[in-house]
Amino acid sequence: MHAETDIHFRDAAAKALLDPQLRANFRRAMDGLIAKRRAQFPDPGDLQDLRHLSTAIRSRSLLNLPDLLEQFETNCTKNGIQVHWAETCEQANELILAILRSKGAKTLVKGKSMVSEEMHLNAFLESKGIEALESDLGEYIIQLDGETPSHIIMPAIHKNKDQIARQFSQKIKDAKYTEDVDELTAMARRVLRQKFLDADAGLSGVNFAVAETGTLCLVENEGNGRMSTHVPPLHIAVMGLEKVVATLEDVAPLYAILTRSATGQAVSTYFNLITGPRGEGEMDGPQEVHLVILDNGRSRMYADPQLRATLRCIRCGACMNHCPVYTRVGGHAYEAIYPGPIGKILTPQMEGVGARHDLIHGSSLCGACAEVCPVEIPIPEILVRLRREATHEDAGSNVVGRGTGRTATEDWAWRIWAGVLKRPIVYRLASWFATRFGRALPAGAPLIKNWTQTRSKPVPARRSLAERVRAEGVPHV
Amino acid sequence: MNAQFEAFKTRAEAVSAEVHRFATQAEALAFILGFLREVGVSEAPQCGAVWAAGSFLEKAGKGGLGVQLPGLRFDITQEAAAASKVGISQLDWAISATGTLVQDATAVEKRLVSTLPPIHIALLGTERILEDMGSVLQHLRPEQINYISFITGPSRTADIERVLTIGVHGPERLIIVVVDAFERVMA
Repeated sequence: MHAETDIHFRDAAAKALLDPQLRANFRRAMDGLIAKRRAQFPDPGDLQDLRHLSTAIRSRSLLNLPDLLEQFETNCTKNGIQVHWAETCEQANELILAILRSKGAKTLVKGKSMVSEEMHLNAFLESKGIEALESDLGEYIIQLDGETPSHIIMPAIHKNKDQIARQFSQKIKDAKYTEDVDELTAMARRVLRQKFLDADAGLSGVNFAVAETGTLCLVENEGNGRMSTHVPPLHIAVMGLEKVVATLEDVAPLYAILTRSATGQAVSTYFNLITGPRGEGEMDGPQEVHLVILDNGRSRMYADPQLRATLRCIRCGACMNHCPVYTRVGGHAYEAIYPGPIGKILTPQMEGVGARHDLIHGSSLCGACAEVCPVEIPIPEILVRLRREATHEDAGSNVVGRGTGRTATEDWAWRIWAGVLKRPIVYRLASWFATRFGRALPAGAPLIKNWTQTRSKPVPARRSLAERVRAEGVPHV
Repeated sequence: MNAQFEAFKTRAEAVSAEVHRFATQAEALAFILGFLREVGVSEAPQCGAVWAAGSFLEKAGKGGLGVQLPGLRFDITQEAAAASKVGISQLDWAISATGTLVQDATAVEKRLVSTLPPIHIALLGTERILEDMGSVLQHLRPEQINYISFITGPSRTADIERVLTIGVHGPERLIIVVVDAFERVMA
């Protein structure tokens, strides 16, 4: 049975709503991202064509996922990329630790990787005495304060420049206080440049993995992805197992829709296709390239024909930018690595639908997310499905924590409802009471209060429809 | 070729790259040497320039260039690139639809000179500008190339309040030198 105390999102969201600075930071950023995305798609027909194409590519890739992964591994191995498989985050962390230790590596610089956030890799490595430093500017900012990303594309968007200025002046050695964004960026660059040159290993994520060629595709703007993958002598890449596509031809449309949906750019500054370690006779570049492929619940999602759509996601963040809930409460209220609409379907499938009952219900099902999603993930439909999974143990379901979201209150409510509807006498009696005394019921009454706190109380008619039909008859039309 | 170049230039300049076009390789070389002098390339610390191998450089002749310009190096290590103000490399293709440069960067030195110094000069033959990513991918097969770089403008971020900032980890200036008679001079 799921305990009421597990519900975080409602309280965290309520708290976030009271923080005017946080709300202003998000409102400004999200409005900007929405406008920039819209400008990239001047023709609605073209946008729909590109969405349908991208959806088809991702769906086809997932349909052939086991074969593509096998082909991808074979080709990576041929190219000199060493492939490792991890079923859980713990296994993935241990694998990375073992690779680092085998090379005697003590410091790791990281390009942006949401999968490594999912694994809580930084904390794990720190506990084993290895320094893991984020090099993406946004990730660096939140790492200084020990925070998690509040947005998957713009991890530090919950902070404004004054907050970052204070943080830098306190936490970076010899830093002076400045609110100039260029100077703040230069400060981070200076610290990180030295770290890059000294690092024993670099880590990156993977945006697309090409099965036919064994290629890792990396999308970025800052140049830290490039540096993480070729400045240190060891490169470790991590990816979720859903990232694979069949051919390089599949990548071009996905890349085009990813950057446009994410930051409203036609292309990112850098797009790197990595197909192996340094060649023979080279003095620099990674001697070894390792790839850790993480499952963490993904093969379960793959096995369910409806939930599989979750894996189409290319992590652009457009669903967050357009979500009326996310844009008001920000990413941290979700208490999850993946916030916003995609997080609401992804996190409960990874952590359990009972444990994250709060997220599944923290949605008005308005459908804005599904409307902007570049790969047409039916997020509201999946939310409704997960709501059922949370309270039922349906045959054939493999959802984690299915049935554990039931509460005694809800069970009794349904039992009473069924009891009333199944007995005409009781039903008549109940509607007689509701029409006569419903108006007198105070809005603050228990149970009703949860509804009326933020909405007006429903007012019943003075006579029920059945009563009126009996008294007045049905007028002939 | 002209329309392709103009489209490329417009898109590249829109993302803060600087684009220059020359008829011959000799003119381009004169521009580059002038530019290097102008930004103060010398043997002083953090003032060097690194030039990665390529057909343009072969033609120009390393020996003579090194003598003409102290501080210009051709033997590229990570340390040398990190200590330089300017990195020069030859690009293989460009995409007019997005103002993107494409490089077979299997040679690590090409990645180092285009990432570590604050200024990157990119050399390109005019006829190497193609229309879109698909056309370029037909020429570059990753099976044979360890590292392909697509570069569009200088390094940028908008991680603080979505304010655009140029020059984060990579170069803050990208100078694209397009040469019409690139291949002819080479042959």
